[in-house]
Amino acid sequence: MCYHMSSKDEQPTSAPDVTTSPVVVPVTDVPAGVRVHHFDELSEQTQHALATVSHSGRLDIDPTATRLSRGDVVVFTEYFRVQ
Amino acid sequence: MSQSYVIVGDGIAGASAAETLREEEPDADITIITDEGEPLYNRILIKEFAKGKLPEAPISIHDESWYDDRDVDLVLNTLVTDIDPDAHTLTAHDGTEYEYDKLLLAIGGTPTQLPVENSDAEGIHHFWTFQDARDIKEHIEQADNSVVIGAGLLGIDLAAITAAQGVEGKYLMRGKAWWRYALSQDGAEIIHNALRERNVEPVFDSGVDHFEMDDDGVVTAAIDPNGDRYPADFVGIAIGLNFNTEILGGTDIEYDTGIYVDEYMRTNHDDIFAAGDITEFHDVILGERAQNGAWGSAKEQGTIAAKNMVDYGSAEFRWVSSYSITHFDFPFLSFGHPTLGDESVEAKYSDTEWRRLAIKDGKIVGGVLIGDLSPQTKYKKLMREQVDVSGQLDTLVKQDFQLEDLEGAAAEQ
Repeated sequence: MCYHMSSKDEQPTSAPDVTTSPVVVPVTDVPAGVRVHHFDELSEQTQHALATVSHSGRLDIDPTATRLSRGDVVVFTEYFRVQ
Repeated sequence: MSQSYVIVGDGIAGASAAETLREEEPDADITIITDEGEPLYNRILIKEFAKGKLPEAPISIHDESWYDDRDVDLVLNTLVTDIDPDAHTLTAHDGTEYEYDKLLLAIGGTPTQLPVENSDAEGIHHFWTFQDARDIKEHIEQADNSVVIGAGLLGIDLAAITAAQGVEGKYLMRGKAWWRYALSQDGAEIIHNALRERNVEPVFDSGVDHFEMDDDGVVTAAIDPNGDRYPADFVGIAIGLNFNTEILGGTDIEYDTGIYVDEYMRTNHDDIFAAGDITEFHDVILGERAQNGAWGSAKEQGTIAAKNMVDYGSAEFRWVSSYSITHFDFPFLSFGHPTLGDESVEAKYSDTEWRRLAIKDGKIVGGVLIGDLSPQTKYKKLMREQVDVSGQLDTLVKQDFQLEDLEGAAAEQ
């Protein structure tokens, strides 16, 4: 999968929630405190990434171009938690 | 002197307008008036709550501190009953008068009632607000059998709720297919099969003639126009929305089923704008008036309206909406205006994969994708840019369609 560079300094960083593409995993339970997005709330770009996600669960999207954050849940064909 | 903005309605259109107004006009007076008893919540997630899959908390988007933090005056439980455009005033049900310099009407709609005998029986639900969802959830969890009426995008939410709650159901439809104005029999059959797998049986050429109820006024069955009886202690109805235009009576604000606005969300009054479900907007892509109830469209309309309330002509509403269904293990997405057009093209690729595009004057004006949403971006781009795809319709529905497959001017996209 693609390796993302920092958009500011072109150097790889180690902060995975900032510089790597989100990974989604199916979940069945949603705790009260999490942020939940319906698929229709997402940008066309993020929707495309979700609709074409591979078995690895990694979204093919620039992490700075999506509003998804670690811990969020997305309602799509099933519930996915963003890792 | 600071401007005074009043927004009627705290759905996503009204709330996004308030947020934009505050960004654009830090010193303005901003008031939101809503007849609901709670601040903005996520209307497209309440079905998940009613299914029993989501707790209440994530459904709420704003608590009252959101408004306090932005110095927005939120007025709950208040129904606006009268508008005086000349005086620039609104009157609420309790007689309170509100003055405005610029007004935004984001007043949405109310579920259409089924005009049949006993349609007000206890146990018959409409589905629009968060409170409706709470009532539905509480009831369906106790129900034994159900009937759902309304073969469209809202009706299928009710059918999915009954399925998710493990309640056997009949889904009564007037024609021979679910959402027959947008889907062919091939496409609809994918949905029908998914419903059957979840113990919800579509019943075609049906509908409701009347309901039966017991001595306590509780619904017991739906009787369709053929005389067939469907026992049900839960009934869900979603046959459309009546847009809340009654407060326009006595004004000369132009409206039909919704409020007429231009591409800047302005009505025929310079100081009155509208946004969200309630608008019949000038769709610059379609070239005619249109209505759209999708979440993203309403949010964008609220933002655009606010910008033009501050500086008219500064932002145009140019948008291809989409609406997805997330009830099944295959994805479903409609975009644009799939029920319009003068021709269409469709293809079925498997038992759970199908596409249809609606074409008007040689251009895509909408579509439905089932099973594979990956072409969405390409089709929306062609629609947004009003590309003439005449003579290339079969190319459009190739399973692995790429924009490069198009020939002539269309290939330049």
